[in-house]
This record gives sequence, structure tokens and C-alpha cells, in this order.
Amino acid sequence: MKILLYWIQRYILAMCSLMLLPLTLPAAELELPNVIPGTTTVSAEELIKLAGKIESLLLIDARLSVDHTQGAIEGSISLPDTMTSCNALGKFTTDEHHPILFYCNGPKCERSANAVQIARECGYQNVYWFRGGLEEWKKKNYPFIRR
Amino acid sequence: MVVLSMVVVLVSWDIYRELAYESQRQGLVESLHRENINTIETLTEVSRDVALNVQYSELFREVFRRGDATEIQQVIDDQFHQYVVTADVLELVQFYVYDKNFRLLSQSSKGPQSEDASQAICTSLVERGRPRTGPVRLRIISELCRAGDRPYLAVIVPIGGLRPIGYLQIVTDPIHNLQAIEDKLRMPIQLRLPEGELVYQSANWNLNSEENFLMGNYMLKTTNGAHALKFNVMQDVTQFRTTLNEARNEVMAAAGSAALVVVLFAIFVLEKTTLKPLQRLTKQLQRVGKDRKKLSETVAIQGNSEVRALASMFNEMGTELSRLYDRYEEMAYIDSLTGLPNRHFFQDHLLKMLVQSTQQKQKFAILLLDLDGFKEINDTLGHHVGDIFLSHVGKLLYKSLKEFGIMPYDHLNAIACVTRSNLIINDAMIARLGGDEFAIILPALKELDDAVDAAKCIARALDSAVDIEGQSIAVAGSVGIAIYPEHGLDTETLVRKADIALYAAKDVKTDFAVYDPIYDQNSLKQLTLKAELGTAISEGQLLLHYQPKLHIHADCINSVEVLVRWQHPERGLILPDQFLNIAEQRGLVSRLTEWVLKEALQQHKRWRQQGINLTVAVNLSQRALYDLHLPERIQHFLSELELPPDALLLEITEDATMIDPERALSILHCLDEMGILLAIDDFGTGYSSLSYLKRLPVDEIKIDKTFVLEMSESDDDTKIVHATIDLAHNLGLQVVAEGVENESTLETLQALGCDYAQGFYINRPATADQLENWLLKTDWQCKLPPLDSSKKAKA
Repeated sequence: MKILLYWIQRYILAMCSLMLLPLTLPAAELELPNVIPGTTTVSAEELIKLAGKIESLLLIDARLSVDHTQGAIEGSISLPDTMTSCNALGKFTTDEHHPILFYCNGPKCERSANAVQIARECGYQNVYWFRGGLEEWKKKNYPFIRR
Repeated sequence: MVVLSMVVVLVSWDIYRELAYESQRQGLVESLHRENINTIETLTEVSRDVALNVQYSELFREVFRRGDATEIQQVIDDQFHQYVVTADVLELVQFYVYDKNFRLLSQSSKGPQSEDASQAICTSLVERGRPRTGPVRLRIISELCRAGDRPYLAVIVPIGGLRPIGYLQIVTDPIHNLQAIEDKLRMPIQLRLPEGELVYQSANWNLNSEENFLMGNYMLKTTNGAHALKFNVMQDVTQFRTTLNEARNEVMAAAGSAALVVVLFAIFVLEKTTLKPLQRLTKQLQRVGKDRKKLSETVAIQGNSEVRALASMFNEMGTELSRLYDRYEEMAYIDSLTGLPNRHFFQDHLLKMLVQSTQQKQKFAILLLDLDGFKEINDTLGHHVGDIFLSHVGKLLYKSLKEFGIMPYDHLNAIACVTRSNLIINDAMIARLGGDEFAIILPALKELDDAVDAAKCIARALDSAVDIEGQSIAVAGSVGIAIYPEHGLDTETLVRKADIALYAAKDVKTDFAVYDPIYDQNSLKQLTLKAELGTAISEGQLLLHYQPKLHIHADCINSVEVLVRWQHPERGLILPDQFLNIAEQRGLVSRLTEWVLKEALQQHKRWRQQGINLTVAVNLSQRALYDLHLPERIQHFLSELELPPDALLLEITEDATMIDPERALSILHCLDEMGILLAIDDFGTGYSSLSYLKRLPVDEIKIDKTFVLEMSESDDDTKIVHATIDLAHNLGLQVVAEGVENESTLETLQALGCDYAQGFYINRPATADQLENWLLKTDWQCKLPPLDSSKKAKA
């Protein structure tokens, strides 16, 4: 009898999970779009090339500063998206054409996307977005700094 | 079975144990591999972090920018103090500093090969890093390599972040970190260089108790695939072994009990489904062997399908056999031809009736019926018709006794299958004893007349002719009656007395006779004659008498009628009417006829040799006439004695030809063609028509003596004889008058134109000698050769 009950429970659970599955799928689709209009999405290699080409490239780590200390691309500035504003950006440059690159943890991290959005709204024209972020960086064995 | 299963477990256990050990060993190697990979990865990460931090420091960047090798060396040498002593995370071996084209700028002086740049460690990693261009130059690379005979881990990181200005290579000794695996696995380990040199051994490494340990080994390889370091590990398997042995014992016990259960169950099933049912079948066979009546008993058997099928076949066979036995038993008591009880059954029932009637003081009668002339039916119409007739008689008997109020009329027709029980009704029985002999038992007889009435009924019933396959057949029968207890107290006596009564009835040619002691004498005589006739023929007790026939026109004797006599040694001369019947009953007619013909012809020959020419006239009995071999046999005698055919004349009665006229005619024609003379005997007593007579190839007719004897007193008889003579002459036949006893009769016959006369007046039948003597004395001796009789006249 107990065994029967056990199997009935299992069956009901399995049925419920099946019904819940479609609800969980959109939740998994949290990845950001590949492109944000008005900005240039770059890969790790394109970032390195960009940095080689443009001496004055402003590299902004959009994560919280505590994350920044745990490991960040050498030469990047910590400016969490929550702190990002036209004013905050203006402290680094007021030149609307100055190239600015934003990154955070990776494709699922919204902070860089938010910061890119803000930079665009502030009128910056040369905005780059390293969509793969630190996740792609580390995966490709590029150097990073812990403090 | 149980022991076997335990042995199987024991034997297979060794294999299993080996497999278990092997699997354990593989698990061990797997763990070693995993731990090695983890350790090397961790060391790589730590080395990378150390190197990145070194290159990121302000001091290092400062001296690197200045490009002074000694200054750089000082900075990197400082790192040894910082990490080797304080953090036990890695054991630094060497730092190398390159420019951005991988030219060596400086190296730490603390490392083992610090003095000799050509002995640089993991140069292959540098070779890998140098040709890179573009962004990938920034990538951190690492490698496990061998230098000298030891393994090293080297990591190269770029100096200067996103815009590299050089490279820093850090080299660490992995053995320091790999030793920690003993703690992670909690097992003693041993590390050896590929060449065998021991580089590390756990303190608790113990080779003596090796049997309690499982050895595992693993070869750590360099990034290029060369052997770098050999790992040995000892796993204490005491517990495992104990567990294994306990498990083995449990499995053995389980297998043993399972086998025991299976064996017991198999025995139980076998017993239930096969052995028990077979035992029951065997028992039933034994019972049937002792008592056949048990054949019909069926055995209810449960078991598997094969056994059930066997039992069902066994039962079917038993039932069938029992039915057949019953049938055979019935058949042993029932006459298959008529469906009536047979002699055996009759005797049984008679005995029962004796016992029963004695107790109840009742009378009963037995009636024996014998058909007259049944043999003729068989001989002339065939056994097939005879059989049908007999079965018809059986039905007739039922019918007659039904009329008498004993048996239901169509009893035999009404019962589908005759059995012993349905053939006896109210103790009455009709049985066929064999041949044409039937017997009837009439129970609870009140008086003798009842039995007589029954006999009369039977006789009446038999009287009517029956039509069988287009033949109208009628036979008479005689019934002998014996009554219990008057005529006998046992079965044998009763049957014998009924038999005597039957023969008495036959003798006097009546329908029936009730036993009378007077018959005993006669019947005894009859019976002895019956027994003796056969020997009489073979031993020459028979003799022939001859009665002369006077040829009236020639007035002399030219033929004789042959008459057979039995010269019985005790009883004297016996006349044919006393033994011809017996000859018929015993089937001796043909032998008798043969003897008479042969003897008569021989006598004829003797006379001929003495100059006496007497045609011999032999009487042919009805049975002899239908013997198809008769003409052939006569021909044989004639040619043997060299006699002409007209030496012989055969006399036949009218009635004799009537049973099967066609057959009689064909035989007579045959004889006629042979030249044998033929005569119709006792003419005038039968019923033959003139047209029929005309068809017969006869030469003469003999007017019955009853007409001749009365001639002197009756005018009618004279007229009949006259008419007969005229008629015969008109048909071209000669006429013989029998019973001529006086002169006047002879004269009358002469006047009427009769051809032959025979009778006491001429002479009585006499022996050959007496006849010869008489012939010498008589006036009727033929002086001339006798006139050639009939043939010519007829022609």
C-alpha cells in the first residue's frame, strides 16, 4: 500500500513538473541582447585591439566596486551602474565623442547594459559594450588583477 | 542441489572478488587522476595569481621599465621570501623575466638552475608563447614539464596589462602540492620519478601488511605527454575484505536456501502433477488385471496436461474395452445369425429354470424344433438363402408364441441391441441350438395341453410359405416336447427326452410329439442306426435286391429294379425306409448312391458275362439328383466296367425335380445325352403338369402301384391307368406298371398296351443269386436278346 502511495506521489510530482516547465523557460532566457542600438558590441580580442589603437579608451567596470577588487581587467575604472550618471561620467570625460567601453561579469549581467544605456542617454557617441564581460575574459586566459 | 548451488557461489565468488578488487583499484586510480588534475589546476591558478601580482607591483614595473637585470633579479628574488616561507601554498622554483619578444632579461637567483641559463626550466613554454601575435599574446599559458629528471609547473603571464611590455614566467615544484593528496585520499602514497627514484613516501607506508592493502598507481604526464611522476597509493581493504566475506557467506546461505526451496517445490510439484496420478493409473491397471469388471471405472486425475491427457485416454480405453468385453460376453451367449440365445445360453437358462421351478414347485416345458428339408434349401438355394430363412424362422417363432401369449410379436425387431437380459421374457426363451434346431422354454406351465398348444401354434406358423429373394419357401418342422419335472429332473435328461420326442414326431411325420417312454426304444434304435450307417457302407453291410420287370410284349424279363437293403449284424435285414432318412440326416446320400450304382453296374456286368442281359434300374433320391457330379461319376463307372450307357436306368420321382426344376432339368439332360435311360417313378402321386412332364428327357414312366393294386376292383383306376398308358405312348414314352400282384392285372395291362409289369406276381425283390436261380426256372426268361428298349422307340 505504501509503495502504491509512493508511486502515486511520484506520478503527481512528475506531472506538476511537466506543467511548470513552460513557466521556467522564459526565466532562463535572461541573457541580454547581442546588440544595444547606438553602441558597438565587442569581444575580448576586439577590446584588446581597441585598447591598442586608442590610448585614451575609457574602460569602465560597471559592477559593484567590491566585485572589482576580486578581479578586473587591468586599467579599468570601477563605476557601478547604480552610480552611473551623466555627471559621474562627466568626471572622466565630457567629450561626447570620447570612446567609452563598459563591461561587467558576463552576458547575464545587466549592469554594463544599463550603464551603456545611461551613457547613450547622456549623449556619448562612441560607446562600446563588452558583452561577454569577465566571464569571457577569464575563459580565454586573459590576465586580470586582484587587489 | 543445495550443496551444488553453494559450491557454485563459492567458486564464482573468487571471480567476483577479483572483479570487486579490480573495480576498487580502478576507482582508486580514478581518484588519483582526479586529485592530480585538481592539484595541478589549483597550483596553476595560484602560480598565475602570484605572477600577475608580481608584474602588477609598482616596484617591479619601475625596475622593468629601467631594464636593469640586476635590479629586476633583486625584486623577483624577494618573492621567494614572501611566499615560500609565509604561505605554504606553493614552492617557488624560479622566475624568468622576458621582454615583449621573449628575450630573457633576468631570472631569479634562488632557483636551482639559476646559474645556468641554458638549463632554463620549461623553455618549451617560452617557445609556445613567442610566435603569438595579436590579442592572443595577452593570454596566460602554462605547462607541466620536466627539467633534469624532475617535474615542474611553469606559468607565463604578460607584463603591462592590455598593452604588454614583457612576460613573466613563474616556475613551481608540483611535488610539494602533490604530497597533499595523501591527506585528501587519507591513504599512504608514494611518489617516484619515472626512473624509479623515490621522491616522497607517506610516513605510514607499510609494505609488510600488503595483503590487507590494495595497491593503485597512476602516472602523471607532462603537457607534452612524457612521464612526469609515478604515484603509488595503498588502500586499506581490511574492512572491504571483511564486508566481502560476510556478503559471500550471506549469498551462499541465500543461494542454499533458495535452492532448497526450489528443490522442495519441484519435488512437491512433480509429486502432485505426475507421480501421484501415475501411481493411481498403475493401481487402476492392477485392479483391472484382477477384475475385468473394473474396466469401466474411470479414474479422476489432476495433474499437468500430459498426465491428464494420459488419464483421459486411459479412461476412454477402459470404457471402450469394457464395452467390448460386454459385447463379446453377450456374443458368447447369442446366436449371431438369428439374434436368438444360443445353446450355451439355453443351457444356462434351463439350469436356472430347474432350480427356480424346483423351489416354486412349478412345471415348465422345453420344446425342441427341427426343420424338415432345411438341408435341401441350403443345398439348392445356397447358404445365403438358408441363413435368411433361419433368421425368418426365429421371427416366426416369436410371432407364434406371441399368439400363444408369451412373447411380444416383433420383439426381435423392437430391440436395437440384443443382450442377455432382453432375450428372456417372463422366463420364456426361444433359442437356436445350431443348424436348423431351435428350442423353446415355456415357464410356469399349468398343464400339458399348454405346451401342446404352443407346439401347434409353431407348426401353424411354419406352415406359411415365405418369400426370400424371389423364392417361395416353405418347410415343415417337428416339435418334441419334454416337461419338467415329469420327464426329467436335470437339464441333460430333459433335453434328451425332448430330442427323443422330436424324432418320434419325425418318424411318424407328425407336427409334434410329447415325450413318451415308449419312444425310448425306437429312438435308441434310430440313434444307433444313425451312428452305424457310415460303417455299414464301408464295411459292406449293405446289399442289393433286384425285382424283375416283365417286358409284356416280349413276355420276358429284360430289366430289374435295384433295391438297397441293410444286413445289420444284430438286427437283421433293415429296409431302406428305415435308414434312407438317416442317410439324408448324416449327409451320406451321395456315398450311398455311389455304392448302389457301382454295385448294380458290377452285377450287371457279371450277368452280362453269364449271358444274362438285365438293365439295372436304380432309384435316385432327391438329394442325389441335385449332385452336379452325378453324371461325371456314372460316366466313370460305365467306362471302368466297359458298359454301354443303356445298361443303366435311373428312376426319379416327380417331386424330386420340383424343388429346383432348372437344375434338375440340366442334370437330367446331361444324363440323357450320355445315353442313360431315365424313368419317372411313382407317376400319378405328384403334382407335375403334363407340360412339365413333356420337358423332362425321360424314357419311361412307372405308374404308381396304388392305381395298379386297385385295378381289379375299381374301374376308375383302370381308366386312369388306361389313359396314362395312352398319354405316355402319345408322348413316346414306355409305361411300367408297378404292384402287379395277380394274373388278371397282368392280363388287363397287356390288353391296355402297357409295356412293362413289375410286382409280386412276377417276383419279389431277391438277391442276385436268387434271381439267377429264378430266371433259370421261369418261363419269362428271354430267349432272344431283349428288345432294345425305349431309345429307339422314342426316336
